[in-house]
Amino acid sequence: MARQSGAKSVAIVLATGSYEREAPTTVLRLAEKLLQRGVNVNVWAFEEAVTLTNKDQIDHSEPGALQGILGEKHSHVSKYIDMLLRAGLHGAKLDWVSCILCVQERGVEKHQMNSVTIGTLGDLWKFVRAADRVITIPSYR
Amino acid sequence: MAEKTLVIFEKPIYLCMEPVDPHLFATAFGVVETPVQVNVLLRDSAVTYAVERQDMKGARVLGVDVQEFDTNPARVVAFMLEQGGQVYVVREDAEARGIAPTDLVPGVQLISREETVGLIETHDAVMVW
Amino acid sequence: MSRYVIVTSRDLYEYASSSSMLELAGALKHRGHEVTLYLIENGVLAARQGAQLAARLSDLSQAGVTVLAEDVSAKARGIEQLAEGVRLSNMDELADLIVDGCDKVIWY
Repeated sequence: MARQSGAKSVAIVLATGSYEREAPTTVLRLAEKLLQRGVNVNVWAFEEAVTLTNKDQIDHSEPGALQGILGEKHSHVSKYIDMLLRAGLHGAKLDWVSCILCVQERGVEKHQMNSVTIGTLGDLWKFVRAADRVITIPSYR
Repeated sequence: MAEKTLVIFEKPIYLCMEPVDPHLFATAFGVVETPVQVNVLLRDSAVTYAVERQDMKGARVLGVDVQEFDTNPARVVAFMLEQGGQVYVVREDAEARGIAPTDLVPGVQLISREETVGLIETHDAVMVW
Repeated sequence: MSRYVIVTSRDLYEYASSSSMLELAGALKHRGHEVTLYLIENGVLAARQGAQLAARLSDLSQAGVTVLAEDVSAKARGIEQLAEGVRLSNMDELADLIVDGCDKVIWY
């Protein structure tokens, strides 16, 4: 089925975590631009991507010997997700859903950020069906 | 005893919410803070780590830099060289990617793919991240 | 006629399957579709001027595929000169393509 121009909603399926992959950074940078255009964004986080919204991430200090080249500390990915979720309150909507199977097997169900929804595989396909554009970030190795 | 260790990079990782590829700074830690003699071989697309003028400053979310500290892999490569680590770059892999010797951090050593065999022979342990 | 955006985030040197993705871009164009090949993350490594794979990107461009490379990804990797036929783009243009300029997105 041909999809219409002027997408109003984009579903993004993401299955990789941060800290050794660039994909989540790209998704956040793209989500900002889509929200700016009044497009609703549904992120469905699968497998390692459910660690992105672990609320217990902190800015940690870098090893002393490397602070000259790394800085004193660096921030964590959930800070940027939180910023985007708050930005969504004032314009287009960002929904961030973490897969229930994936959070449970990783023991991070109780650690999810408050604004994140725990969803099912059924939600994934509802997102896909409802979206004007579907973007699936491959979890290649 | 693995006193002399060769660390091999194949796949470059950028803008992952760490200041640089964590494998790269873990290697730099080995160079500067441990008695292990750590040398580095950049092959395949990881040759890009030795390219000068890498710039991460454009990556932002809602105006906030993804990378707060201004650093990049080339800076870590230069640091490892200053600290006595050797950094080797496979010439054929650089050429295939359009990277000229003049693009590279001063002090890195361009070697042929065939010469990498000698590096494997002369190190006690080999780590491929 | 449909409009396709093929976003290539993978290092084309690393994956043998990347050749199929470049062939797909050419084949869709040949069948009369509008095709944008959008290089991002390690996908931009092939777009450096003088790179071996850059010739394939130039060929696709000649065949009418729009070949774009994302600026932040290129700058991060110290890529200052792009291959012929590859144009520097940015995240705003990718968002515009996704929202208004395509029917389907394939992210490789």
